[in-house]
Amino acid sequence: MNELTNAEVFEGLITGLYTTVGRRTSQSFAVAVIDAIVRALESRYDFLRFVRLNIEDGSEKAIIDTDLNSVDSSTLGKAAEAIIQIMCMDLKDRAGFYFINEFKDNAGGAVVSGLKDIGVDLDMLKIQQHYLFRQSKRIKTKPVVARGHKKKLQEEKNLLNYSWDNVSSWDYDSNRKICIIYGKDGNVLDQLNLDEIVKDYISSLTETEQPSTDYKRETKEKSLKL
Amino acid sequence: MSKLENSDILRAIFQALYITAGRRTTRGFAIAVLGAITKTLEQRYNFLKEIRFHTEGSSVEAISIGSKVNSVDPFIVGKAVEVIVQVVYMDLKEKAGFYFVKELESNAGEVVISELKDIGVDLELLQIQQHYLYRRQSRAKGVAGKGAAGKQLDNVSLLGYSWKNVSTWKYDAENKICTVYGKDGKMLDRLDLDMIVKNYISSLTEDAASILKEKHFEDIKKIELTEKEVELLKIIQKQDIDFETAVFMLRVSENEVKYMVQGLLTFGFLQYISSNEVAITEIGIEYLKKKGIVKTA
Repeated sequence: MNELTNAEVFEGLITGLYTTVGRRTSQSFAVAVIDAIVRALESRYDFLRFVRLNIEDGSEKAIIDTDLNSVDSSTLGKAAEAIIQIMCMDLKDRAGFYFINEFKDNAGGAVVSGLKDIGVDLDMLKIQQHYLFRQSKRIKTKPVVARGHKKKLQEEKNLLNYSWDNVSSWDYDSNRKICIIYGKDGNVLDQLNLDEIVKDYISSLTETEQPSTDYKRETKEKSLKL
Repeated sequence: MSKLENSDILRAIFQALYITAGRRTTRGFAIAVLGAITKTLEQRYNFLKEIRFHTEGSSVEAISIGSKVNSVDPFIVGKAVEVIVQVVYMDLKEKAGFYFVKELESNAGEVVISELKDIGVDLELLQIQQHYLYRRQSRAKGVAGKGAAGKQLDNVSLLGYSWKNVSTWKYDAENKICTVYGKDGKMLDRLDLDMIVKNYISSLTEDAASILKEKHFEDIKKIELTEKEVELLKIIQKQDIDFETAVFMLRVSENEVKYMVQGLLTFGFLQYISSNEVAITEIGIEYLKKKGIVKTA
């Protein structure tokens, strides 16, 4: 039996999402997008007015009014499920394959158990998320990169003499603004210019994604007909 | 008050989805997407096995539903319907448009909509969800800010800054954080350096690479497949094949191949791409590579 109150479960939900989303985007983005989703759902679930995010300082600490504790648990569960679901859908490719697993790790056992008790079906959310992730991989033809960098990235890719498989670890040097990449044998594989990478990243985060022009599958996959 | 059976409700909603999605893509594509989604969700909702899609016809008659679904708790059917509608409009992405749920309701008809509400399908929630996503996906500047779509919710609006407002940034190597400052000297954001570097290297090397560095992929690597399962994965990766040929090539029974496919679907190594076709996933490909079964490019 769950020992957490509704307010505690919701606090854990927001913190778990904040960490999981923040790792994929940025802390400000995580707070802003969680808040946008909660506010959008407020028109359906009036009690979400008791949940406030700290937009100003981008902190993960949500302000949860204890009035939430008097809300019917199953209705609260539907709202919680909708928040996680929309989050996955909003992040699209950025959510990746392990979003739900990672969210569970970040939220912690007690909160995950509390969410299940109020009817949140995390297994179903995982199946749904995996389907959408694979679909996006299947119909995606070109990676989304910041405008103007596409050609450069392609050129770099052709010149790179190592792949992700060979990367073992990396270290940051704040003074020199570089990131040193090491291979599995301990040798330096590469040195990345951090300024350039951060600039690319912020541009890609704030730039509008280009729409896909053709929804049809570009290439037919190999398949097994059942 | 009319009381429709589960099979009537499911038939009606699938037909309505078929028409609504088909109008936005093609009818053949709509049936393939509906089939793939339904087969995928069978893992969670076993009764969906009773729904068959006949891809030859590409018409509303192409969906048949077994009467066994009528013995399922209607609220579970309702939950499955909600999930299917959600996945269909997500799959359609921007092609779903602003009025997808409204049009779906209109195509399903009042009686079916009323029954759906009775079995717990929250169409209002689906509409709010879809409208939110539409506003997030709207790309034409100004369009989302006016009329029915409401307030614009692109990434710049959400974040409150864009690259133009960034003045400087500082690295914190110990905490692996990059703090970004605006032109007024105030902190705009904090970025996770590990994630940025990982994404950057992945974009330079191979598309599926990021999956391998996720700690959860370690669990997948531990999975030990049988020789025949590996052989089946390799066959599917290399060529188009029908069920009978797979049975012949693997020299096993039909049931054994069915069992293997089920197992590989559960591990996420295979996925449905229509109601009667499975393809290898990027996880399956990476698994073969990681195990040294297929050479890395």
